[in-house]
Amino acid sequence: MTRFKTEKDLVEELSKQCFFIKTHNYLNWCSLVGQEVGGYFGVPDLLFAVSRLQVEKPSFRAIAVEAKLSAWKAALVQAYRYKAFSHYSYVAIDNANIKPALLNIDSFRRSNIGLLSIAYDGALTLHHRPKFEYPYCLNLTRKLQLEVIRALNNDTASSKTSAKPLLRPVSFCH
Amino acid sequence: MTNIYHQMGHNWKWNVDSLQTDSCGDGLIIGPRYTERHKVESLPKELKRRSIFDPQFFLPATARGKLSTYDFFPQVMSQNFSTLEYNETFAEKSAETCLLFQKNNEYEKCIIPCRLILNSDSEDFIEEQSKLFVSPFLKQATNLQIKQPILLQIILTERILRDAKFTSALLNWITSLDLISGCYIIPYLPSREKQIKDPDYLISLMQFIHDLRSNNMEVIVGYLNTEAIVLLAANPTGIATGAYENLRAFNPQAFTDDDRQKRGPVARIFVVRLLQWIDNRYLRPVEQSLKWSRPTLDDSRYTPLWATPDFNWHFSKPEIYKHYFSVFMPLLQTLGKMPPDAIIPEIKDRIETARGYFDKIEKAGVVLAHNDDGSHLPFWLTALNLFTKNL
Repeated sequence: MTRFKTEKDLVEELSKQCFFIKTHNYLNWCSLVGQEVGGYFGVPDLLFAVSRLQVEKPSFRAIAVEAKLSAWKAALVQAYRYKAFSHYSYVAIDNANIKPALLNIDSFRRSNIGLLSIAYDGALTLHHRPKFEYPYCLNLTRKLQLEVIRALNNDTASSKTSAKPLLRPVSFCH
Repeated sequence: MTNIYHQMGHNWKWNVDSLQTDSCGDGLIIGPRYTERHKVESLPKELKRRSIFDPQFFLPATARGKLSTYDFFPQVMSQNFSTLEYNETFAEKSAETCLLFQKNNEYEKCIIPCRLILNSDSEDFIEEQSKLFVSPFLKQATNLQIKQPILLQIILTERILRDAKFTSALLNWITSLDLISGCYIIPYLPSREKQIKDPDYLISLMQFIHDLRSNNMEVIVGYLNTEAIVLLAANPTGIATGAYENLRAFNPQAFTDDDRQKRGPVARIFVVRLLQWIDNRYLRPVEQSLKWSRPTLDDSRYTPLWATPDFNWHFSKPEIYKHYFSVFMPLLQTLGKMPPDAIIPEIKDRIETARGYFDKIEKAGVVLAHNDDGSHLPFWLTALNLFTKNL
């Protein structure tokens, strides 16, 4: 079985996938993606944010992903942190090393954290699909929501921390 | 009975407020590194009489921060000298002025300082501390007719504690010294996590305290975090804890010239029922999993200040430390007043209860990071059980 050489390769492969947006039915929402998004709670390898700006009350959703070649337990700790500001949080593990995580799938179920494996050819297998849940940290959620609005408006001037938005618009197959 | 002291450092006024306004703790351990001389001298006499002044000679060649305002600090006495040149002549001058300062300010005890020695055997260690600190200070203590109890400061490194021969030589030396009433111990474990998870280290530390106490010596242990509750089992005469992390775990970096700006730690709140500091961002799931509401989560007069949705969490906020003092120090005081046969079961019970809460948190699916979870508690129980067995 071919394995990913680095976590970066794994993240690159995942970032191309519309899996997360599609699984949670956000294909019709404006989508943003960021890699190694810091400044919240932990640093998710991938953060997808979607928003509906055209409706009366703008809403947003966030999906965070922690990718690991093998260490499922460390990934679970990190993915739990991302639930502070995201509505879905996932652990993605190289398919070649998924067995230990599957033996502990109850931990993922209990914490409502998604688990999937990704093969070297890009094939994804979903082992546990998390349910929608509001983030547990209000302040961080507000902060991310502002970042989403800023990125969607392509507003670099209002950023206090960085000229470059952490999230960039992305378009997935409909 | 164990006295509870505030380990003073940066923003030391919080400690004074906590002691005077909230009646938390019994006294202060004043550290000159962060407190100018005139401010220390102007503290109320009543406060000084129940406090201790730690001269902080750990790195005598580096008068970092406010240490430079004390004329007895070795480097101030002789500009541009290196630690290696700190000889008996300087030591006697320094000892005289340092002891006079402690005498005139009427502190509860007088401290004979020490320097940080990392790599030496017991013979060299004792020789150097004797030559540069103990002998000159004891000589001057006699000359100055010091009436306060005299405590010898010892930085207990891992090397000392893990070497039974070293520990034994040190105990023999300390107990043989005339005029010494006891020790002011500073445990130093550089490789530690935020909580100590090394039962052998804790047992050795408790044993060291116990051995000194068995020789009728006073023992004050400084720079403690939550493990202070475990050390109460060894019946020290005093323990000290502080606000910032570098006052709850001794770190010589604070006394070096290294001015590199480090990122401050994340703001944590101490939850006394969990015997743990919890990252503020985990608070909501922790509360929900235990079905605790925030106003009842370790209620102190500071809870309403930090338990608001708009509280701007930052590690430098006084509310979180004043809350810590308000909930932890009374617990330590209560335990410290218990009879010896009752205290250990009570500490164990507290730890077991905290473990039970962490089990509930885990079962609810909350995944805490290793600096926020209850993984230290089984180690503490092991340390207590083995220590009790050896008594």
